[in-house]
Amino acid sequence: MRPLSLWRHEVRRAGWVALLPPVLAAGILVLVAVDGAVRLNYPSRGIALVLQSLLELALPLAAGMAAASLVGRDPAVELQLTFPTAYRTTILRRLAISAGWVAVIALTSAVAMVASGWWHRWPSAHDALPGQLTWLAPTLCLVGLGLLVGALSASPATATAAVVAVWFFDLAAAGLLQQHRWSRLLYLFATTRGTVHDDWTANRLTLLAAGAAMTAAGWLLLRHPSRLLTKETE
Amino acid sequence: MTAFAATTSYELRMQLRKPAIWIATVIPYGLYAVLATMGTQDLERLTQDTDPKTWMAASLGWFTPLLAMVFGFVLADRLVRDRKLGVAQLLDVTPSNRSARLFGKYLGACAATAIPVALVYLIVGATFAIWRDRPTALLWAAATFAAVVVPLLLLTGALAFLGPQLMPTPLFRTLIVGIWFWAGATEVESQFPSLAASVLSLTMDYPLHVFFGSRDPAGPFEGAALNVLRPEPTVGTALLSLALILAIAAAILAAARALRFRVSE
Repeated sequence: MRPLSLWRHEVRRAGWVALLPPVLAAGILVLVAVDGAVRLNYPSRGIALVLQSLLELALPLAAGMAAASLVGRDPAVELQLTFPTAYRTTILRRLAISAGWVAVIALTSAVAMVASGWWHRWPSAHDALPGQLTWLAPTLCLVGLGLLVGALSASPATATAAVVAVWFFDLAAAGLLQQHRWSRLLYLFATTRGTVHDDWTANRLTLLAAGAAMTAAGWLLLRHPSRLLTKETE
Repeated sequence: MTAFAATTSYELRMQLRKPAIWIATVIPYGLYAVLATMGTQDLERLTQDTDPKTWMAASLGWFTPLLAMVFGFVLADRLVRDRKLGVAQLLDVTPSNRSARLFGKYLGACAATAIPVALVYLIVGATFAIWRDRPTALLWAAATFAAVVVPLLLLTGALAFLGPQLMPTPLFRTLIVGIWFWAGATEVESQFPSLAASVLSLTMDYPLHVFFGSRDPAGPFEGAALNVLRPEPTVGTALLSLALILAIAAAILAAARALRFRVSE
């Protein structure tokens, strides 16, 4: 176990820029939900959808974008590569911090939703405990994708573009993606925008496996310093 | 003029070689094309439509909202890059006109970013022209591109020149998603205060509705906030919408210019 000071340093290094977006997303969507409930007198199903979308759409995107900006931003990678700690270990520690922060926000929101009763007002919501896969599966998948493309390209712009493109495609082509079993299994938003209820567990497990595989592949690719050094600065 | 032409062509070539601009277009559009060719019921409406005008707007209707995000993302680092690399001050002491360089950078980067999207419009237009034997589809593709993509690109491009000067680039990229959602993806039926279906919407609802017969709503919606920005959709208000978007782009670019040269002094 590394000394705590190292983790503290990494949290400070990430700074408010990395920690703000998930908080902002949660704050805005909760405000929208409150506005819908109080002022616009929305049906509870619509409000529950906004809250579930925070877990399944907004927070995974924030985690994926943070993971995508990890590789390729260090001004002195050469120096980092001479350290006894492997550079990829540092990257993984930073990944744990940004993804861990999103997990904290997601868990807090989920607990608040279960406690207030809003969780079960979404018809496709699962029981509270397995229901945590609502955010965990897409988050791990987009984090893995961000890290993998980042390791392949060493460019935050490319990695972020890939994460956002996949996320947007899943949102825009929701109907198309429901028509084949393989695309249903890989669909990121099965709780809020999926139509086949029975596929949910298989879908979540597939996403977790895909996320783990992509994270592992990214981790393996980062073994080769040449991937990090030969790219020109953006 | 030389500084302007040189910067424009340099930025154009540099941006074109960035994988990000290709990836952000190829992933969603390529996946969509693959799924569409595998056969689906959703596309029946498109296969029955033989009017090239509405076909262009309908077939690319899902793709337009993506553009604001893509443009904002890939253009975000263009202006701040000079300062990060330490060449901004070096360039400032050259006898070249600073404004010409900034404007050249803007136009060059925007033009390169438009190329992958232009190819998508060309492919869709050409596919329809051959499939239905309607060559005018290519003209409609060009018209949609000019009336929808170009103004949107100029606006988000200007935002991408201003935003990263005020905040770190990764934060700006996150903010762009929020802006896109608020000014484009929110549904006007939800009645939340947003720019959806207004003259300022980032999905270009007025030009799409008036000029290309798109089914997406534009215009006043009962009970929605900000209805003052949703006049009846006519040719006049569609042109007004385009003019407003271009004027806002120009204002934002002017602010970016002022900030850039204030910081460099």
